[in-house]
Amino acid sequence: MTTRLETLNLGEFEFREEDVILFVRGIPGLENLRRFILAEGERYAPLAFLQSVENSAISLPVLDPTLIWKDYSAEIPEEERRRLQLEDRSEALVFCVVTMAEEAARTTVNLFAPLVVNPSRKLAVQIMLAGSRYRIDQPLVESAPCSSSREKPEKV
Amino acid sequence: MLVFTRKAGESLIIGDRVEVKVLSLDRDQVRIGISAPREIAVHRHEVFEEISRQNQAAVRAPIPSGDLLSRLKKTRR
Repeated sequence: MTTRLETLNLGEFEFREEDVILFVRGIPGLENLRRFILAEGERYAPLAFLQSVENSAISLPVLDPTLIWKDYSAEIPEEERRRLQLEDRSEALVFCVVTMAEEAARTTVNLFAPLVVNPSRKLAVQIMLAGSRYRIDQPLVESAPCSSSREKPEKV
Repeated sequence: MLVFTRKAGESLIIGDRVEVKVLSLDRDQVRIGISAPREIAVHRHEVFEEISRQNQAAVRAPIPSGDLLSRLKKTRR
């Protein structure tokens, strides 16, 4: 059975209930929304959108970070794997939130807090790569090396 | 909010597995040590707020222009 959704940004589309991805903790800043559809299409590629099925006006632009940063790696903490019922790390889909700007040069990607999806269970979380050097606002186009002035918490 | 007064070296226990210890004091800064099981995430509050703001900004941002997409497609290998 499919449900039809008239969205603000992506036009009208249909989705199946079994394709709905559940953000088990919500998404910071969008806590009241948990159910999203991953909308991928040639029209927006290489971007994709997480379209809320609870609020048709909300869609979050995302990107597979390894398309641009080849060495990008997100270590998924054990407790998050459990939360996602993720048995095999290689099954996980990793996306980063893109904050678009009219000027391409001001568009940024949040490499610090990737979205991790278990595609078979349709469960997702936004994790924080604490202690990493990835930035919350990495410029997208000038693929500058990642650096951050963020102070790293020390382990004692 | 529960409020405690602690001296350097003293600590609090939250539940039976999380310990919050005041390590040292220096004018307007406090060093705090946290011992917690791995499954409990500990982050600076401002980092969480920054991610919330970024997510909200991403939702409000305009749909990409052809210019950005074409530059992205060139980047893609």
